[in-house]
Amino acid sequence: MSQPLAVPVALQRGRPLAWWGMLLVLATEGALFGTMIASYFYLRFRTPEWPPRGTPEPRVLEPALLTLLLVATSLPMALAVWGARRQLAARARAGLVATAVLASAYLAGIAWLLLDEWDKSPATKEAYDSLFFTLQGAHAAHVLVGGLVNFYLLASIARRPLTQYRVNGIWAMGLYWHFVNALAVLVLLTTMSPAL
Amino acid sequence: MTERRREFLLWFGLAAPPVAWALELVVGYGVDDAACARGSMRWGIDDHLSQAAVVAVTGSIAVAGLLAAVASFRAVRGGYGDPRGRAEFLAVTSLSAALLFVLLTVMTGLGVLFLEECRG
Repeated sequence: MSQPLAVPVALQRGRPLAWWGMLLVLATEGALFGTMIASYFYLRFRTPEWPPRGTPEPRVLEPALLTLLLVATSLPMALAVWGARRQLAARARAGLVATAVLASAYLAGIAWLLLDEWDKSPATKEAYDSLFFTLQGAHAAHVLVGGLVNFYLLASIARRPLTQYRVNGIWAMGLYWHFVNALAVLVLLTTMSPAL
Repeated sequence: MTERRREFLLWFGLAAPPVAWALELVVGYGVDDAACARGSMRWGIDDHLSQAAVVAVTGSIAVAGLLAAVASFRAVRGGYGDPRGRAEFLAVTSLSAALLFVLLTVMTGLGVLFLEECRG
């Protein structure tokens, strides 16, 4: 008699493999952002004027408010994961919709801010500008990817049942989302540091 | 002791000492750089004092990990475990690694504290 190749859902214990897989992905993402933040401070410690002369100081209020908005999306995302794990499809959908809408607002705001900063001092001008846009751009790209996956998950449970496979997807995505929000605070503090 | 607590001690004993040593190296490097580099020297960061704080915090984490590893090892010797031998393997591995990493953390800390600052 042949052996089953996969562990049946009913026999699964603990967190799903998707969650652990996401944790490994996030470890590499953490290393990536850690390297970028370390590069920022490495250059800062060696530069008597930071930002360099002729480069405006970074904005504080608008990015801080946008980051606050993004961090607030951890709540609806937690609701989505909570609902999905308890087979409450309506709650899972509501959480994902709220997360996607707020994340879209954040992305629109950050895109406007970055374009405005680029007009004043483009990434090609100084190492400072290069790191500023790399950090902010890489983070915004992570939010964009997360937002797109959120829309995909939303579409996948809009009219179809909340299978264990989809629950695992939402669970893993919840971990990614909280991580990206924590990163947003680190990126904000790093890029805002010259103005503090 | 609850099962959850025993599990925490097993993993804390395994992970804390190497993580503490890695933190000591990375944060210590950053503090040293901030204290000694051309751009940030004027901030007046006391290198030895800051390094002492880093060594104290990371050393405490490493020693806490060693104590957790010892507790897990004693629990295993007292009969705690599972049929697959996972707890025993983790306890023995974490105790060996914790001893090594506590020693590394202390030796790194001593070097950093006794050598003259900003000479690199």
